[in-house]
Amino acid sequence: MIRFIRTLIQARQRAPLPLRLTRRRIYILPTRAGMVFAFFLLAMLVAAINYTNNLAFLLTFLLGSISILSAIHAYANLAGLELESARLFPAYCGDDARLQLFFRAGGRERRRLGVRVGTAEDSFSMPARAGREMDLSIPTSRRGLRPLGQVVISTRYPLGLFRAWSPLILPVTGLVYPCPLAADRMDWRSLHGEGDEGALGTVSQSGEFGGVRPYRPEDGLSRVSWKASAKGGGLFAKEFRSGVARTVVFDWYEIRVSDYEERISLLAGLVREAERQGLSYGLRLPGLDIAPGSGMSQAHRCLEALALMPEGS
Amino acid sequence: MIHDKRRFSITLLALALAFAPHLPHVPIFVGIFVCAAWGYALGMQYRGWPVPPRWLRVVLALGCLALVLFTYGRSFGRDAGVALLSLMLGLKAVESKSVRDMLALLFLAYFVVVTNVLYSQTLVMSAYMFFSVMAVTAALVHLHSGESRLLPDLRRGGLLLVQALPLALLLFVFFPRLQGALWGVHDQRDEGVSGFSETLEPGSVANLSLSREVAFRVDFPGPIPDRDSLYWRGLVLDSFDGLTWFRDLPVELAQSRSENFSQQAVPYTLTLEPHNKEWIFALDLPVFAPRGTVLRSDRTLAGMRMVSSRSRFELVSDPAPEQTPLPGPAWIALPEDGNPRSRDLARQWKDSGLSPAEMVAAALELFREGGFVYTLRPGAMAADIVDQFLFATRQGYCEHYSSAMAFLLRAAGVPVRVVVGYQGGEENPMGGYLIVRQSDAHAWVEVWVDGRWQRVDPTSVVAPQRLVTGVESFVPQGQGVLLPEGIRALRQVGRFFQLGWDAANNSWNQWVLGFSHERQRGLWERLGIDPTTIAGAGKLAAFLAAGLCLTLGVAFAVMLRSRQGERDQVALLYGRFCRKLAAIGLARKPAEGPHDYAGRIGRQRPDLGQAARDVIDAYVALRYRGSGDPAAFKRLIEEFTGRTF
Repeated sequence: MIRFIRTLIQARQRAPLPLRLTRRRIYILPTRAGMVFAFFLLAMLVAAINYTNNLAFLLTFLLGSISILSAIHAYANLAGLELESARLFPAYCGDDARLQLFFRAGGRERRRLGVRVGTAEDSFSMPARAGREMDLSIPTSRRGLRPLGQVVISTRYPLGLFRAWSPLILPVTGLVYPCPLAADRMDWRSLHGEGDEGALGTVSQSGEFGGVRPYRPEDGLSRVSWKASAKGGGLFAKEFRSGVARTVVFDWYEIRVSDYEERISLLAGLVREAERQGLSYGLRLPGLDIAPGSGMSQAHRCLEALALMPEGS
Repeated sequence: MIHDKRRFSITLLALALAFAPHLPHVPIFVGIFVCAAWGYALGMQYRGWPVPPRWLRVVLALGCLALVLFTYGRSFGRDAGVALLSLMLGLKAVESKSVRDMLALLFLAYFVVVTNVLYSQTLVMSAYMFFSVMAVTAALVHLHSGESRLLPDLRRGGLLLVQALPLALLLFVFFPRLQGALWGVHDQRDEGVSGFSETLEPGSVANLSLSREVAFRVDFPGPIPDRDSLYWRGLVLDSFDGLTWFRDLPVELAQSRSENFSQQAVPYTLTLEPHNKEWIFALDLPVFAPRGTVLRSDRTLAGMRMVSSRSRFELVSDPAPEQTPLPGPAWIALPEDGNPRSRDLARQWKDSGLSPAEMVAAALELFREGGFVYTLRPGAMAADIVDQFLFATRQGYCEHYSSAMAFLLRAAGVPVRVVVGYQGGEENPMGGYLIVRQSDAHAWVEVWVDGRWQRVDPTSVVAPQRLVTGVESFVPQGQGVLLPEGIRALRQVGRFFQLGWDAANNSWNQWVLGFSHERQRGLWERLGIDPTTIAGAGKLAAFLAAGLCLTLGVAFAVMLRSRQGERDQVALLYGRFCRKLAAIGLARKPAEGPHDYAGRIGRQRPDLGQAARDVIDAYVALRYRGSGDPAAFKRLIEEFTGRTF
């Protein structure tokens, strides 16, 4: 039953992007301080009745009205806020994934809105019609797809007596790469296949510089030839003359590590290291072959494949 | 968060504003302690002074409690409570670390503001209280806004207060008032407010006549009666001991005669300043006793309780005296001896067969023709005061004249009594009501003639202008130097403001402080609500709910309205421009900036290039540089969209 209700509530919180906070998504309740204040007011009211003191009545009602109005102000601080986009960038397991939210203020200024996802939280203000990017660091603990979970946008402005909040479940899923084994822990020699030269190939520490060509986004920043680019006319990337030793394919079946997850970690570490060194690399996994290549997109393709490996048996 | 020193000092500032009016009420040591604690708390924030250890704070708290108990002893009332609250404010500031602590401090500040009403409810103080509520609210906003500037938060605090006012007033008017307290209220008001005296001692020198303090205010729904008929009766004095007239006879209560009063009966509302006695000064011959008062057989009104707070009475008075039976011998009683010459004069009158009315005329004749002078400095007299006044000094003020006249008539066997009260009053043209001051205190006599107690004011024959202009015309004016025109004009201006201020105070007293159970009932009746019936109560609830919805709805609409400012206007106009161009196939691309757009228009339609460039330059200036004239931009747009291409 409780499960059912939770599902129902979560269905209500599911929010397509871009979204605008409206009354259907905003909840408001007194804070603990608000409760204490209500008690204060009650005491004042009793005193005013007892002393039949009209000025005390007036002040009590004034304070009461102010607190009721502060609820409206809190609501207005949240209502109409637009969340234009949300991106959860991939991260290695154990690192913090960057959540990038882009808000638009709409027609009113916004004061001290808090954003919380799990344990990560931050707050921001912005003037009317402004846009603002908020970055949150989301901790990751295991590889694979990571649904963002609930994002709560809340405010206690102006008086702290009420908290208006909006729980959102955004259609955002991040990818958590496997935790890569550190490069210095890898024994490159052990990776060499005993007889099968073509599978792993040899690894040379640096490629032979062959010249520059126009930059493509998938090249990655490490390939940018800053010297050539500085002359103007767009970015250029360094090109390495391809040789026998500069293409490497990491083969799942060649890794002599028995633990399933550790094998994934090792492969992730290899991919990262290969990318860092500007090699051309490929990956062979059970049921999946990734042709050699290099650059950010190649790294992402390989790491994604590793991240999405089924749970080990 | 509290390392945000600024927020902390602003919290303290709001607290200080709320606390300031209490400084005169709390003992000196409390004031010093609070200021020192706040100073130390600021030092902790700005200079990194150490946080006092826990044991020290406990010791300080207990010490404060002990001091308060020692100072006030068992009578733990208002003053002790406020002193304790103040000490708490000091201690709490020193141990404040978090936002929650500051929140607690500001709640306490609100509470401190409200405790001020126990001391003063004047217009000025009330205005100050509203100001401090605003200050505390702004400090609360500042605590939660995350802003570094204070001004927007001040503005928000003010906005909250302004929006809250209608709702507060609605609740104020409709929240049911009870009659009387829920539990006993210890009254700490000071005794003996100076005012009019309950005996008449012509020998003592007048100082009362010079006090400008307000005794009461009167609001007539109709025109204010002539000034010389305004006799506000306070107390009837029936006995004389040779020096003093006083009240001695047992008080009897009279019946109200609500059914048969004459055409000239005048309704009015009397708002009496507290004087800590029971007298209520009604215009002569009140017709009935309003709730909480009794009507005595001498037709004076008295409260059932002391008038210890400002009180309002709805009264009706009838100027025509009523028939009464012949009063008893007590009303002609005099001391055995003393004042022989006056007694001789009275005997002459009696022996020559004058009727009581003729004797009154004779006495007035004596005052008018006998060389009597009205003065506020008659000099003191010790014995045979009536003889001395009538035959030697011949100068005095109302007390001397009424005392002498009453003595003469009593000696001649005519029942007579002395009445003390007020005469006249000053009309405030700004409020349309009458202000009666302590300086208007007066004494006159009432003589039983033709079966009625008839008012006779001997002072009026000596100093007729006393009745018209008030006693002030008798106050010695310096050395008799005529004041220059300028200063006279200045005085007039001063008087204007004084009257305006009194009118403001009076409205405050009448409408806010004096809003009682009875007046609330009256208001409800006018709205057709009878809260004793179920339908009436429902109506009341409906009224309240409708008002709540209305005020909150308006606030809601105001808050949710987006600011359609100038900049938006610019965007709308630019949108029109772009749509016009889109119609001829020159739609702006989503990623195209204004300058690129202008360039493209110029390339594709050279004929429009310059006009479009002008519009876009004006747009860029308004949008991004914040300069330029929106009206000129509007003209440009209209010109452009008005074209036909």
